[in-house]
Amino acid sequence: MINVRSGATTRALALAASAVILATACTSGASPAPSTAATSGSSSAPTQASAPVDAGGTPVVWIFAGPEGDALKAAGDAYTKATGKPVDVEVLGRDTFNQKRDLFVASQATGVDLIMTGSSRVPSWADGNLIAPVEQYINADPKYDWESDVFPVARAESAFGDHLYMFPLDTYAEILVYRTDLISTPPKTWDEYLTVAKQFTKSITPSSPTKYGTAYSGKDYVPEASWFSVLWGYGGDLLDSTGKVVIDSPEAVASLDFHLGLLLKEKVVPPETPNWEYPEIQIALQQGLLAMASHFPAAMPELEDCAKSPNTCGKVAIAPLPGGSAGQFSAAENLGLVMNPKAENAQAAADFALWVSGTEGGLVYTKAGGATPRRSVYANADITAARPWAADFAKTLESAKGTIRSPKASDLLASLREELNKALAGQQDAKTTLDNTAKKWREILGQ
Amino acid sequence: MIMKAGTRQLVLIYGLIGLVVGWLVLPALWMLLTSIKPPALVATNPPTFLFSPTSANFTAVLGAKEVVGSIRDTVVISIATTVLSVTIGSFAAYSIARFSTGGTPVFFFLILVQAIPSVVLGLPFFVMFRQLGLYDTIPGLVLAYTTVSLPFAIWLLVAFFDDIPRELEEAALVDGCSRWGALFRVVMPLARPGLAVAGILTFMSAWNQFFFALVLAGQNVRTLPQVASNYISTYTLDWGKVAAAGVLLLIPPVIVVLVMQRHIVRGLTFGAVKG
Amino acid sequence: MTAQPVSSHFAVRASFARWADRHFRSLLVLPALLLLVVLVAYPAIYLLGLSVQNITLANIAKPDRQLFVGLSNFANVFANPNFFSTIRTTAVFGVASIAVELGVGLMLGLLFTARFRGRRGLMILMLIPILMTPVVIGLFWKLLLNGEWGVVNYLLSVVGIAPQSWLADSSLAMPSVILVFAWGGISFVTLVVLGAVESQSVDLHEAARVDGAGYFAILRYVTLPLLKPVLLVIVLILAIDALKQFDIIYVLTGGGPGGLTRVYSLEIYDQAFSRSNFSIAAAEAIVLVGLTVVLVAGLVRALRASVGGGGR
Repeated sequence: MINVRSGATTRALALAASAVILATACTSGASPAPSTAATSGSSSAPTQASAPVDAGGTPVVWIFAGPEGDALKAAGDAYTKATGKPVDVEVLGRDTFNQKRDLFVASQATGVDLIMTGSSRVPSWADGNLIAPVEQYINADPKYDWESDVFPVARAESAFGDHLYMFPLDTYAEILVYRTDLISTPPKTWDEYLTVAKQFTKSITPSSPTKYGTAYSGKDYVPEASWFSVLWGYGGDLLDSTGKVVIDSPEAVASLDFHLGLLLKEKVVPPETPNWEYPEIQIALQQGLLAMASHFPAAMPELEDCAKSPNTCGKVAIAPLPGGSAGQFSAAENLGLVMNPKAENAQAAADFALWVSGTEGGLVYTKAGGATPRRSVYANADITAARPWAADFAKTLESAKGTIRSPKASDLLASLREELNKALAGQQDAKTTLDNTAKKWREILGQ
Repeated sequence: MIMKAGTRQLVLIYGLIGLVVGWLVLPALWMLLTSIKPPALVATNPPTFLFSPTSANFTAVLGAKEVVGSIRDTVVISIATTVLSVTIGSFAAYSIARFSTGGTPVFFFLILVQAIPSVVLGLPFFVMFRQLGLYDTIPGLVLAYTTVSLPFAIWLLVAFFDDIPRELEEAALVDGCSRWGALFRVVMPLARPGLAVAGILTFMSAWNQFFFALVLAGQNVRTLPQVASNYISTYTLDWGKVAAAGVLLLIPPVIVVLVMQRHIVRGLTFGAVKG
Repeated sequence: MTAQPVSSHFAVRASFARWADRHFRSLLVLPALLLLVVLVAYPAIYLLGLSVQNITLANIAKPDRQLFVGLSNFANVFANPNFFSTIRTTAVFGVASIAVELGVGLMLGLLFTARFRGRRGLMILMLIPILMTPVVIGLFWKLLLNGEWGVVNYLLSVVGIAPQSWLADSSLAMPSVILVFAWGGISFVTLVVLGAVESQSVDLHEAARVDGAGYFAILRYVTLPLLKPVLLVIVLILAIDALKQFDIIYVLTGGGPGGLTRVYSLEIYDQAFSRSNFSIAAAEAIVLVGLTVVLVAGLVRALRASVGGGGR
């Protein structure tokens, strides 16, 4: 076995490698290489967050594909037509949008001014100086009607600390979708909900026209949303008003017991629930397998489309999710535009953001397929004509609760999900789940 | 093993192959059916096999602006990656197969590169390519794809070169050929099946690459898998259009395979290799 | 080739040729190595740098908060209570997948060496799994395996098997994931085996047949032994691929139910994208790559010993 490697080869390789490393690291401001951190970070702004500037160019907006992407593109065209100012709306694939956005934000790159994102990110990004405050733009716009027109949950979700960071464009909240031909009055409490569900589960009531009474999403990366409504209805919560961990309270355990019981004890939801998310619930509704479901209003256009959903068109409606002694609550999250602290066209970008999330532009955006969280938009005659469920959804939004307002939100959620997934798989009970979660949460939050 | 099969063996062959190939083909078949199904019939229970087909999905996908451009981009990138990987890969593979060039360090290095999950390369490549001006360019993507496919091609080709007896080159050298001549005129033609296999596999890997396209391409360069993913979002899953895009994505690879498979199947005329 | 040059022009060419000949093996290997080293150098340093600091999304824009923490990230990786179960899940997934891919692929590759009608068409069909885009593969397998409306359940019901929740049942999720992943690797094995057998010396086979050996004897004493180096490489590639596999599992089960299909790459993804703990993700990635290299090297050494010192 001949082991020959000429010294020349090795030297050449080492030289080439060093050249590339130097070329990249020395000019990049975001390189976290250890001993060079001091020198490489100095090429751009040292320790304070950079502020957006206004070079007067065309603002660039990133959004993901889907109804929101289409709507924003249409709104962008309308904006240019109405004001004469250009805007560049770039639509990127949805599933992978998150990764691209995260990479971009983490590398603090330039080139994009506004990014569409979920409001659950706002606390951590704001705390990390990765997005720029925008309340100065909102406060400067006399026609914006922030307090009077925008739903409370949308306002809360856009804020962190003393600043506002997001121009809200859509607000998603989980609602109850139900078959009007099977259920005349939607259940208002979780106990009623269980009764109705049993009525429409074939294995319990053989004469039931549907196979399962209801369904919720249990897929590994989003198992918690459906449970939150139950949690709050029972009077429990994740963190109390002072930020203390209360996820292991008796009310919380009771609520999780109920939620898990739907799958594991009562069996009124499909056994595949731990692997189901939105697309599966949608198909199940379309195929007439469910009498109700914990679902999203975005489903309605398709469910009402007789070409796509012949089993449900004209036979579905939405209602707020059931509640308990503490009231009826839905879990909501905003989608909105946040501003890059390295934005190069800040004012132009803000102008567009204010318009498209404002009273006038918001209507255009919603008519194009979005769902601007403004009372005026939801009360608009054209909108209610096209979406008969709009009024019901507006009611839900008035009392919806938002996401965890902590910079450590993603860590908290990841820990919760790990435990919840085990519970949904039948590996542990509700009390163990929440006790474990509470322990991890206290560790993360330093309580 | 190159024998003509008798009847009993034929039954066995067709049976086994049929079963396995049936399993291999099932998703593609279902995808094809879904692409021409009316949307309401996509997920019925029991499944719908007979229906009147519709071309709505294909017209929608082909009509989307970015699809044609992305087909062109993806073809260019895939071919470039394949040519690059197979060329320099075969040189390196020959050197390693015959002389164990670089020995253990190179061996470990190649394993190392191949063991890195693409996800891990995402952020560094992103930063690096932006700095070097390679972001959102075709050469940039070709380089990224090659990083992933080159070690793989080298391993494969090392194995194929190992199979070619050294006596042939040695005979050529004795006849007065230089090492280079021996390589190009004697060994490479013999390595054709291996090169074809490596070519097909590299092309497929590049064609279907998704993660790097996501990270390193933006507005100027679009790849087809990226475009296909646009039809998949958390709240709308347009099965028909995804299926149509998937079918379109299948066509160029099938063409490539049709072209390359002649080189793999040598047949009974393979007489160049003696004893 | 070594004739005396008659002019300086020829002298340069001749001495270049001599130089090229002497460095033949290095020159051949240089372009590939150069490209890889150059492209991988920065990521490697970046990754190492990340792994010895405490960078998360919270402090990535605040360089003054980024501390050097030495090897404590690595210590945390091993101290993680989930570490061993994740490794075990990954190992089970890897070994089972390779077994299926190798077993079915080898059989299919050998079958395809026979000459029969429709061979070319079937071969192209056989290749379809590697021609399909992973995004679409995951999606459609999920549709096919769905417990309520999946075609797989329908086909199985035709032969009398009750419908199952393939991806949500605690005992079925891992086998399902393994089978879907292995489904994607069989074409590769088949193609390589086919190509390798096709380039085997016909004369050796002829000689054996003339000596009276039947199909299975030829297989056992000529074909398979000649295939061993190729099979070695195949196993190597399959192993590396299985250990870093992410996409299929993520789409099919997301790591569930209850973490039963959570292989190591999913853990890295979780740290990097769900929790934004970049440094820990980097440390985990390095551990994964390290374990892979060690494992594969050990595998190769063990298999090479059984091949009988095949010249390297």
